[in-house]
Amino acid sequence: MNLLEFKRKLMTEPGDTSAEMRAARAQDGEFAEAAAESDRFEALLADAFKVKPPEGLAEQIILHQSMHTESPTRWRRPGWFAVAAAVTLAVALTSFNLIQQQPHESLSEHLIAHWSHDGPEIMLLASRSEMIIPNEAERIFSSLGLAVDDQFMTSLRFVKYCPTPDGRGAHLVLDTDQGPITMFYMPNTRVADGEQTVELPDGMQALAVNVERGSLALVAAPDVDKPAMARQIASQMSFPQSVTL
Amino acid sequence: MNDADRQRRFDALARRYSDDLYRFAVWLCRDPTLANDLIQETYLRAWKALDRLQDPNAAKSWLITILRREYARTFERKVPPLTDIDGMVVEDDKSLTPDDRLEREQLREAMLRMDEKYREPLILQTVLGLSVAEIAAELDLSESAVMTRVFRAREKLKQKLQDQSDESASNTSNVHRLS
Repeated sequence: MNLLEFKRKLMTEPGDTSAEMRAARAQDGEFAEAAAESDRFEALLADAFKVKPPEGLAEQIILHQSMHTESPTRWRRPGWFAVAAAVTLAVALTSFNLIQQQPHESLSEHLIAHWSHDGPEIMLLASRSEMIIPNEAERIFSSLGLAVDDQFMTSLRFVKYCPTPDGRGAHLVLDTDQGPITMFYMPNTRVADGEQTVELPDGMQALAVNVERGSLALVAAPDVDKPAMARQIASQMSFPQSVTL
Repeated sequence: MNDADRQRRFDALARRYSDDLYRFAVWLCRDPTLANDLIQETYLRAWKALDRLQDPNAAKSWLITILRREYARTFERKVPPLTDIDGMVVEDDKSLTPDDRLEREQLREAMLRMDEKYREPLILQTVLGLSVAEIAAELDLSESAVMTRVFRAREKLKQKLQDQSDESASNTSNVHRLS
């Protein structure tokens, strides 16, 4: 293999461990330089592509599958059965993101689609997983231009990015004195008239209210005092930085 | 295969491949939220078709094929918008210098903007570790076409880094002249 062929191979299949490539790599001079330069670039590339998967992704997948398919074995397990009884599912099989990309989607349509897509599942996940890592939560909040106080952070059981009618937001589960509740933070969405209640298909209720930047929606059972809860949660949120969302 | 075996097999596939597939999905659709949905739908389809997977050694490429089909089906008429690079949660290496970090960010930015026909084979190679022959089979291309594309992809990324480096050197030189 001549130098030109070697350099081309490094650009097309640098991980090739054939005898020919090993022999070329073992040479001195320009071959060694080319190999070192390629190795440096490949290491950089591998590093740059290291995207962190969501915590517990495999468990989420297994949970998602068990909730969307009939698997008698899975549901016979006592733990799963209890969970199934506790959570009423109205899961949309269509892609939620596809739904939310449709133009002119109203806030109520969005909340129904969002909750139906993964609301009960996320509640379930939050109840089964360890408390979340504060650094990870702070990073998500900070990227959305949001800060929360210690009390809020202590009550946080789950947070992830999620779509909103107007870009990216956050999907949270909080422990409250009235039980766990789901919250969507929508940094670019304003609620017409400042407040809106949406009835969800599974009997749950969402209350969306404006906050200093954007809005939040709480999802809970109809008998939960959501306006009071929303006021309390909003008082624990602040919006320190000016970020472009 | 009974229900319990089927479930065990599925669970193993989820635990073994989901992280890598997620990384692939993120770079493919350039949006972490969409990538997560894509992964969930991929595995749901895999569950339904699990009996068709005869060779366990082919599981990875089988899942990649399902994911790519699902991506194509979902975005048949609508290409997802380019995401903000800040939305990506990267695995942070504390030992990196600011210059190292910048270099990686520039690469990510360039990857996000790269044409899919160059981006996809490069991700299959670098993120999922597929060989040129495997990529060719997956993308239904000749091996020489794959080699051309991954060559061009690397060339573009290297050029981007070089341009940034030249620009940075030029700015530094201007500052020195002013002072």
